[in-house]
Amino acid sequence: MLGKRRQRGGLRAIVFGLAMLMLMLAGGNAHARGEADAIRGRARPYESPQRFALELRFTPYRPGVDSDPNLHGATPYASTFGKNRPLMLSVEFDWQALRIPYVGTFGPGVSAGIWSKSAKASIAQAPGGPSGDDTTLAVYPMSLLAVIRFDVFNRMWKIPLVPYGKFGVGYALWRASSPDGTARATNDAGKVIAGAGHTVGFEYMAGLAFDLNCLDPQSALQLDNNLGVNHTYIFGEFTGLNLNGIAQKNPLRLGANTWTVGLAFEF
Amino acid sequence: MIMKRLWLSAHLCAVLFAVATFSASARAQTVITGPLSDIVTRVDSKGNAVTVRPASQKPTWFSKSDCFADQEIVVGLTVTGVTNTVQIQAWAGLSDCASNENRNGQNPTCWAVTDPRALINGPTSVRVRVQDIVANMFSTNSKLSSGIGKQYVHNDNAVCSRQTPGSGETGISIFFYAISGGTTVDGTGYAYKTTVKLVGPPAVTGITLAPGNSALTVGWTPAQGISTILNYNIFWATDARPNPASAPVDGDGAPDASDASDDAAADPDEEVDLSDEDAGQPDDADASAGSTDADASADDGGVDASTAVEADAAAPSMCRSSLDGLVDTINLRSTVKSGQTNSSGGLTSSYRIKGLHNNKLYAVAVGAVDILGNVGQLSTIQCGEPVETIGFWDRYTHAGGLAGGGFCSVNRVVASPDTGGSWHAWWALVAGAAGVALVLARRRR
Repeated sequence: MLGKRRQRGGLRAIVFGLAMLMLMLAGGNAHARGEADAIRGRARPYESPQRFALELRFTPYRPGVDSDPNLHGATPYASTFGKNRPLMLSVEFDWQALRIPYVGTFGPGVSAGIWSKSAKASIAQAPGGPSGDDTTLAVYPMSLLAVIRFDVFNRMWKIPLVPYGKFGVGYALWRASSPDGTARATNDAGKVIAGAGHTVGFEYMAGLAFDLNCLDPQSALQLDNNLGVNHTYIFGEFTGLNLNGIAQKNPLRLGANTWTVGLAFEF
Repeated sequence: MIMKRLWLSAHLCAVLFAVATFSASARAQTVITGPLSDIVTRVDSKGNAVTVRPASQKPTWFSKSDCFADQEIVVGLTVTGVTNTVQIQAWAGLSDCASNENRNGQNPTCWAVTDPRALINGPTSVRVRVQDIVANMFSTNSKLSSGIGKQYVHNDNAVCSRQTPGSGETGISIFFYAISGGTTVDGTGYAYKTTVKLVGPPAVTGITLAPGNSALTVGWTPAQGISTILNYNIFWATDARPNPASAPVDGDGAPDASDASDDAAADPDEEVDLSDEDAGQPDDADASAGSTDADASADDGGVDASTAVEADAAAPSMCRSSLDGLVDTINLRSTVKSGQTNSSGGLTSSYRIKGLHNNKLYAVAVGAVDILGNVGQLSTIQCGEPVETIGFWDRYTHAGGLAGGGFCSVNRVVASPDTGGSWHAWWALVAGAAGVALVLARRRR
């Protein structure tokens, strides 16, 4: 028991020590740079105003269609498309409307993406097998988000890591199609249902961005002076897409918990 | 007196000599010049202008379809220095036609492509038929028998099916000469050079046929030399019927005897629709076409029923159809329909034939089309039946899924946790948005 406590205490001490070391190094660096600039009589490099962020996002995605309780355990999605997760490509644009001192930026953001998955339809008659027809599900997700970025570490201590979080409402248009266009199927009531619709839901993300400026500050400065790009990040995040219908009777369930990587630019 | 007569005679001789000399020099000055541009006008047999191919598709060359369409080229010429006895005539040949030996010798290499006609000074135009140009160009060693080609002969479209040797591209010149007394007037002549190509690309290989819902997807291996491929023509016969010696292709791509026996066309009592003019439209009149299998074989020009089995031994097609033995695709039978890939040409390797009937046998073949529009030799014939298929949406709906109805479909709001969500979430969102707006407003103040 005592040994375990000592172990935990040791681990905490190591983590704390590393954190302090990084802070000191970063602070020392900044301090040294400031002194050097002062000696050379230079002013602090010009930074353009920062108001917006743009993200190019790549998300492996498999919609949770099969979680629909109406399906009673059937797995039409997995039976057709399998279990792999094709990439969803999306773009997000944020307005960093608020700068919260000693915290970071906060503001609204919008995003739009595209995703589709195709497979060969099966032959209905036994023994079945793949046919020559493609069957496709396409999803066009959009979202309205509140975005907070904790860039205080990067700004104050030059630690090039920016944690961030997002939360908002998501909306996705979707379409199931065959080679002849939007798929149509007859339900048990004999009604022909078109394979297209929309699903509303929540989205939430939490991630960490790495500021690439620290790798080549000179080029970053040039990029800022020439194009107004203040920071360039690569990021990775947990992405929760709860696109399972809000206030909808029979939504196509498109929710998924996944992850996203991408590039972000602040300008 | 004698001296006077001698003087007169000498004078007359001098005058005659001068006239003769002047005449000869006048004939020698007859000059025919051609059009400034290589692209000459093309007309149909009625003289109406036809649309020429785009510049990227060799509009000056002669293709098989140009030949079958009985196109004519109209060459605008300018003539100077003509006297009253000179005529113009066009000759075609693989070598120089100025030589009388090449036109009228023992083994001529040129042939007349127009009748001689009177020539006057100034601009003129000569129409030459493509069929006449290609008529004699495929003789052995390009030598014609004596007398052949000397007189203009009006040819028909039978000459269009003659094959060009080697690569299929043969250069040819059309010569326009001033003729006087059956002899070419020295120093005259204009040669219009072009190329004839009457055969399409080699047969497409690697044909596959995959059944779809009221459709068949045919695939193939892209042809060699794709830069010369304009597109692919896909042909399918609506009168296909199982070959007694084989079986059709099924969904797994393997011969399936049971399918053959199941097919209605296999039953000699069943009628086959030979009047199916509207492939692509569901056809309810199949059973009323009034023709039996035996009729079909004879009527569609296919192999006679009594010889079909023997023919199959050499050609392992798994069904019989109007595509059997089809070489010339210029005049397709009504039982053969065709489609065309887009102009991305050689890069395309599949085509989906739509609007077919499920569980009906079709025969399919593919021909590559070169940039002149020549359809190449047809591929091997594949047979298959469209079948009902099950896609994602069918599976979802049949499993009890209730979503869908269109992008604008309106779903009623419910509070059941089983089916998605509730109004509470919306209220939370609205409250959150209001909070953010409030913070922003205060910050701005």
